[in-house]
Amino acid sequence: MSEQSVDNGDAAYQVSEEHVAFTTQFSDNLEVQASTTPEGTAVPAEHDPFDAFVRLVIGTGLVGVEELGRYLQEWEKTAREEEAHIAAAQEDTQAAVIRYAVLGAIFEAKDFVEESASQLGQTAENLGHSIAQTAQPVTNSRFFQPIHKQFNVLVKRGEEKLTPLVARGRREDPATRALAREAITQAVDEVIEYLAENEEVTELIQQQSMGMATEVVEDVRTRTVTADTVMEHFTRRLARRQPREKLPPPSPEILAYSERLARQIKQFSEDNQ
Amino acid sequence: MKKKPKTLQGHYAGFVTRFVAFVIDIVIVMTITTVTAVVFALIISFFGLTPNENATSLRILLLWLAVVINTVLYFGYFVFFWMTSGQTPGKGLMGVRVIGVNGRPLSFVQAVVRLIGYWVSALVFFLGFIWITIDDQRQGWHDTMARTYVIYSWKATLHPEFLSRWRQRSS
Repeated sequence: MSEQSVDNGDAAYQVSEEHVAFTTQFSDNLEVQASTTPEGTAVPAEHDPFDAFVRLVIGTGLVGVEELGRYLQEWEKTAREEEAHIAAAQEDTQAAVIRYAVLGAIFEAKDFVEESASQLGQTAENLGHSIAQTAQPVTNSRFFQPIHKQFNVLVKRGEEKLTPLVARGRREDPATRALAREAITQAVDEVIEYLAENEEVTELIQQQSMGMATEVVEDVRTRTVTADTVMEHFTRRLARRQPREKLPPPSPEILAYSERLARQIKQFSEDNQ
Repeated sequence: MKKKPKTLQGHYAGFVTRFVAFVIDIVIVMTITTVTAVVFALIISFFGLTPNENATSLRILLLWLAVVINTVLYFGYFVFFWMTSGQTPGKGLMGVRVIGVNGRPLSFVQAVVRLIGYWVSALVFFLGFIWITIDDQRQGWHDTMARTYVIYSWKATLHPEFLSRWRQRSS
């Protein structure tokens, strides 16, 4: 993965290409965390393991949920395309019927919960609206004005508390994602490196590759041996010769020579294993 | 006890297998000769041996040398492998082997005659090669000339699926 450096004052931060999109917001975040020296130059904040760990956990969660959502969308799309060509299951055994009933109940329950939640929300909204309208003469009365004032103060205080939280969240979001992506990329790289260096794994891969190559070669050979027979059939017919039922057997010397060679090759390969 | 399937090991090899092996060998030989030619061309251009009075003789000498080396490579490749193991790399990959009619490896003379025989077989519309499909011992003209057979050197079997498909089509 290519890397490019992002300068932030005197310090240069190495960020991968994928994180370039986050750079603007990420560097803003770094500026906030950076302390300023008496000379006025910015230095990066000191490494705080707990802070980094929290960021990693949150970032992994955010990236994980986002990726899972994306994959779920893709899988669902593929499944729907396949679903159009698949008929409903026809198995009629007792076990199968019970399985279908349980499956059906689960999906029905899910639909019921969704529908109920939606209805409950709607009802609560309507109820709140009705209560507010009914109580309006009372709540708008002079008696309630001090309470109104207190309420407005509370709302303002809440907004004051909430605004920096939102701002902090905005700053932290790209930073945590960047950290999580970096961690995932590095972990994957390290796993691949470990697998590449592990002798047992590489041996297994080599053996499987060799086995696959041998299988392919054998398949090609069998096909050409069959094609030999097929082609002969056609050319002999063209030459107005009788089609051959069986190949003439080679002389005993040739057969003996061939078998001896095969034994020698087998012995040689066994000795070298 | 399960009976071992009968194989065609030691039987005469047919046209298609031999043709595929030959194509592989030709690709290998052509790659080697091309590389050699490129090396010589680089040497010629590196020393600035463009056609002028001083450089012409050396240039011609180098070109001739390239031709000689390529011819030796072509002949040497086939003759060497036929004489030593009876298998060129292409034949080895396809599991066929060239042997004398007496079941012995080829002599130098047999190998050279067989290689010249290739040209003879190709002379009349490649009839000498097609002859492999008609002859009882699956010998081409070059095989007859050099007194050689080509046999399957592995436990060759027919491909059942391929064979049944062909039988279905032809019936």
